[in-house]
Amino acid sequence: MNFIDLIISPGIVGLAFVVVFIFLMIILAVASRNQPKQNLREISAFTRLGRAIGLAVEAGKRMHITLGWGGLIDLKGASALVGLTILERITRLASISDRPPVATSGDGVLGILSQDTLSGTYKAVGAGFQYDPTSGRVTGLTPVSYAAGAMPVIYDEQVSATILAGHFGSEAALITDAAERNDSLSVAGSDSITATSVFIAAAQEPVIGEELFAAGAYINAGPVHASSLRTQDIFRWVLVGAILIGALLKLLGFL
Amino acid sequence: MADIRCPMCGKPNPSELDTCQFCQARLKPLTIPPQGETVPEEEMQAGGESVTDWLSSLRTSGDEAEINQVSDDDSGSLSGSEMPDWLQGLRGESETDSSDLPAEPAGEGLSLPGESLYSLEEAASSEDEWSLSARPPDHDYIPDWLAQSGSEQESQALSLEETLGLEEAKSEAEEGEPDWLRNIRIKYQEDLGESPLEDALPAAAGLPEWLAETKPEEPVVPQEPEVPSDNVSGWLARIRRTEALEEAGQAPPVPEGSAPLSESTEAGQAESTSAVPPEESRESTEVPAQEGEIPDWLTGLVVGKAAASALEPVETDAEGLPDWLADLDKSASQAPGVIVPFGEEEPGLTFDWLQEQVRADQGMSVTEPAGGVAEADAGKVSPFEGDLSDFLEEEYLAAGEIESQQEPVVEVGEDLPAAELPNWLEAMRPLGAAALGAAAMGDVDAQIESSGPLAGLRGVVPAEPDIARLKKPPTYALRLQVTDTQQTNATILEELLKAEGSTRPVTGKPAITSQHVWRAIIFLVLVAIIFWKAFTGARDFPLPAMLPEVLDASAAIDSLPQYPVVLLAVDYEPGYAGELNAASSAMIDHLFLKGAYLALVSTSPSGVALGEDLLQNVGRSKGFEYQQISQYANLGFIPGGPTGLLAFADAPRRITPYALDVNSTYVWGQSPMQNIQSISDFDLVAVMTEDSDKARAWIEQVQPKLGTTPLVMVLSAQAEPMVRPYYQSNPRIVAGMVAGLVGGGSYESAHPDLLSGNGPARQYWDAFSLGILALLALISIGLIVDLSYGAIKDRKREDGSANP
Amino acid sequence: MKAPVSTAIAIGVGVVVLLGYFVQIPFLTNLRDILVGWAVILAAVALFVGIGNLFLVHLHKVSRAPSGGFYSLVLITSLAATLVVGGLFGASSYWSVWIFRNIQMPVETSLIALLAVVLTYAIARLLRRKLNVFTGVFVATAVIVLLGTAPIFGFEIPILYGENGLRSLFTQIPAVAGARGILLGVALGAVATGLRVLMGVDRPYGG
Repeated sequence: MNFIDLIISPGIVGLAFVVVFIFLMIILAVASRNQPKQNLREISAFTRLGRAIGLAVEAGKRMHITLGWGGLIDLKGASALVGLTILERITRLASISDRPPVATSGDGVLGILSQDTLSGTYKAVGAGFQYDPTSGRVTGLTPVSYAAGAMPVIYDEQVSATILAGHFGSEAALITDAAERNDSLSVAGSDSITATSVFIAAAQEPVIGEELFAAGAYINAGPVHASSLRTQDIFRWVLVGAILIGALLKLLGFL
Repeated sequence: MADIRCPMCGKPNPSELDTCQFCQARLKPLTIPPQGETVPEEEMQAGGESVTDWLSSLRTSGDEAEINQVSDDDSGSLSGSEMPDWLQGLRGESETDSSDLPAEPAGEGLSLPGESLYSLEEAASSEDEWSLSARPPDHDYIPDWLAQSGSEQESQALSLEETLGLEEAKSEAEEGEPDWLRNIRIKYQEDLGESPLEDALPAAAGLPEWLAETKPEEPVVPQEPEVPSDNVSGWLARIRRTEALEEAGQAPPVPEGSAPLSESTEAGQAESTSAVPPEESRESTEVPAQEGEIPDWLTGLVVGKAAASALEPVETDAEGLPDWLADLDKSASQAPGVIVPFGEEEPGLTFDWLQEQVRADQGMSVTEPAGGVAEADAGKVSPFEGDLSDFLEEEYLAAGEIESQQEPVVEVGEDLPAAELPNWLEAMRPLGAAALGAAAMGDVDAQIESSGPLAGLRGVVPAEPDIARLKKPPTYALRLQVTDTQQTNATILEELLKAEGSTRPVTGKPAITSQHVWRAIIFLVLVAIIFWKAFTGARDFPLPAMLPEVLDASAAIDSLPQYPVVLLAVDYEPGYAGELNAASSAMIDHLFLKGAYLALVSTSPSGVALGEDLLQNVGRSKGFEYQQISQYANLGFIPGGPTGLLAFADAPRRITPYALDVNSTYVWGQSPMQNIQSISDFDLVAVMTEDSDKARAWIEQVQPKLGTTPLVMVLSAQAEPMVRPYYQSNPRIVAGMVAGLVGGGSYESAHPDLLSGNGPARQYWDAFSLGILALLALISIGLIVDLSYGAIKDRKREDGSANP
Repeated sequence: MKAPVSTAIAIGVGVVVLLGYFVQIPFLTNLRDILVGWAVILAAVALFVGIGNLFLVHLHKVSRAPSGGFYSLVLITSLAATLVVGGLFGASSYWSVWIFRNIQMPVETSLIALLAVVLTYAIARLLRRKLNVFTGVFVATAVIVLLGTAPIFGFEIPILYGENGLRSLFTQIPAVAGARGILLGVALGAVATGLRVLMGVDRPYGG
């Protein structure tokens, strides 16, 4: 493989993409350190989420965060990581509640990580005694059984709001339907197109596509989350330009 | 030569005069040297005679007099060479007081007998207020002439002529009355219309009658223990009252058995400070009426003035008052807005004695008064700083008009040390009356000073501004001013607090809501349709036509060699088994008809059982059962998702070495699997999934390693749109697709011989078609009803809010 | 001590696997394969961890709340029975398949069937809950696709069916294009999330 082939090989392009992405995230995080809170467009789902946390604490109810059945091995794990970030923030904010939040998942790895997140957050806020291992649980090993196991949590455990953040299928409609029957808020987002289409119809506050990955910035999970969001925006515009240029070249016959 | 302006009345006088020709005030202050020192004569020019001379004469003649003799004891005839008893007494008292000066409070004590008259009123004490501090040095001592004049009913006014005559007489009686006193007498007699000469002219041999007739009497013990601060005007007030009484036809009050003048002064002091009732003042001002013993003018002056001042307003006193007394009021009334400097407040009064007394007191420590005023006074700079005469000259001669004296401190010389004023003297300093408004000044004339040395005088600038005077505090309404909004909020808060302790009934949710109704309707409609078609077995609706993707999939299977080895991925969930079983049954049967050996794999744990169930259903529909290992091998679960797929694509034998039969057979060593070394060795790869992501994972991870092996997909209807681009790409990545029940029905339609023409797609097709129509109808009706209900509800809410 | 070590391992392994995908160096490629293999094994083991977690949670429910523990008892019993049958007879044995065919499949297919009712009800109330243009487009698209899925009383409406019909037009052009765009954004978000883990900013394993 000569140098040019090496340069234009998909591997090098991908590596360059990753390096530039990391570089931009760091630069934007450092640059925005002394700036006031960045202006982010309002996403009603996160606005209501913040309010729902307070209402849950006041009403003595709990928050339910469900992480899906995607696991961490493949691309579906990214949405699960976002779900874990949301879980950590909600646990931190609702640690004073009489009923701590509960996390359900359809994968063993996510079950372990949800327990680890809850335990670490409670220790961080000095409420380690509040941690209950059963608050992070696996409700089923198949998508439908997982949804079937998550529904009783909404009905029976005084849930005031359900947050769906992870990889789901169309069975997620069962969870959102249970939340609606329980007159509780449902904030749902997934990387799956099928789940997104279901959430648009069935959830009260759907989070579409990459809005789920902006959750960290909206819930103040850290400055790097905001900088990564801005980096995503930059690369999105780059991709848009690349698609348009490619389509034009294809139309003109150059490709 | 420049005229000298009188410090009392402010009128210009020739410079050669020692006393004012209008008010008889001394124009040039006397300077009394301390004991043992002589005062330059030029500083003591007063009334044409040397002050030193008469003072000296007073001193020498006083050697024979008793020190503490009361004035009434010295009523004996006086020769020109003899010191009048009253003077002797005064001198002795002054000596006594001067000797006691270090012990006594400042201001008390007399340096000269002649000044005792005023020193009684203006003697400062150690009290804080100068009004209170002006106590008589000796309560027991009253000059004889004062004591005897209390009973006099007649008041004699001294005219100017009498005054002049008095001056002549004065010149004759060098050892007689002092000029100031003579002037007073003359003046008074003039005012009273009496010949001032009758009583005023002193005997050729000696003192005037009035002085000679001074009856030694018991000194009048002043009733009031404290001398008010403005007791300077006390005796003057008594004089006024006496005059007023006389005019009114009343007997002026005579002090009891005491020197009238002294008593009157003391009484005046008391009146000015403690607002002594007129009766008391009358009493205090009563003097034993002894005709001929006390000069009428003086008696009348004392009694009448005292009575008048006690009974009548100050304005009426002006008619009978001597000019100098009248000027005292005029000066205040003429310039209401002007602060009368200190010393000019009482025209006609000479403050020589005051000056000397202050001078004598200088050097003495001012004791702390009981009150608080003295503390403030202690820090003040004495207005008599330096030479008193210089002060007066500079202050009143150079000033010209009466100006508001902001700073009573005389800037005689900047290098002069600031003397400490006695409290009583400090209190006499004109206050910063600039703060007084015109209204206050306008009322000055109507006000009678009630305390201090200026007690009884009107037109005195008040010591305190109006705003500091006691006033009735404003009355604020106790009722709280509450606005309507605040009242509403308070009511709400009150209701909330009341409701806090009371239990509220928990409104339970109704058992059946619109949700339940709608869901029930939808369920019943769908179930009814399905059951109807399922139970009746109706085949009213034809299967769909051949779809291109289905034909391509069928063509891909048809192109397989005999007894192909097909990799069948069962990557769907059990919940979607109904759809995918119906979609894939015909294709499975087609593969079995080709004699294909199926290798089942799955990336989901339940796929193993699903694959088994699928094959058994297909066989059952054909009336036989497919055998494991001989007809198919269930290789089991591939963990790790796309990563596992990638690994399986690279080395399928390593990832799934054994079959999931009872014996865990190593099928890779048996026919026909023994020839499969890599995934591309399979003749066909068929993936069955409901998830587009899984489909993409197979496409992206496995298909690049397939080579010429076709990839066929059996998908759920929800995944078909995402996979179609792979089918429509060029070159095709996916050889063919069978998507949903439509695809299965299309496959069965294309191969009616498969599954005996009664595949699951055929069985479900009628119910499926009607169910979709029912769903459409339910969706449409639900939208219409919900929108209408919402609109009606909103309209009702609006009507309710508009018409409460 | 625990957190820095975990972070260091996560970052190191992530960098190696990432470089192994992009840079074709045999050492890195082999190391990547090994690490990925370990990840696959751990994912399989995580399945057992999930089963264990499920068992413990429901066992805890049975012991703490007897009233609400009946279904948990049923679950525990079913789990145990399935484990025993599969272990004794095999995963693809008749009895294992019987349990799957007669218990699991009906349950799950029924739950999926409920989606028809749930989604129908959701769409019926969608316009009232969110009345805007996009919701209207969403409902209209769903209706058109449904109409073009199956013939109406056996009669196929030409405008709806076929490759040039509205259904194909809607599903292939705007729907797929939108889905692709969403997936691109999701991919960028996934890259950002993964890189945050690589950088050590996000530590879900921190504890």
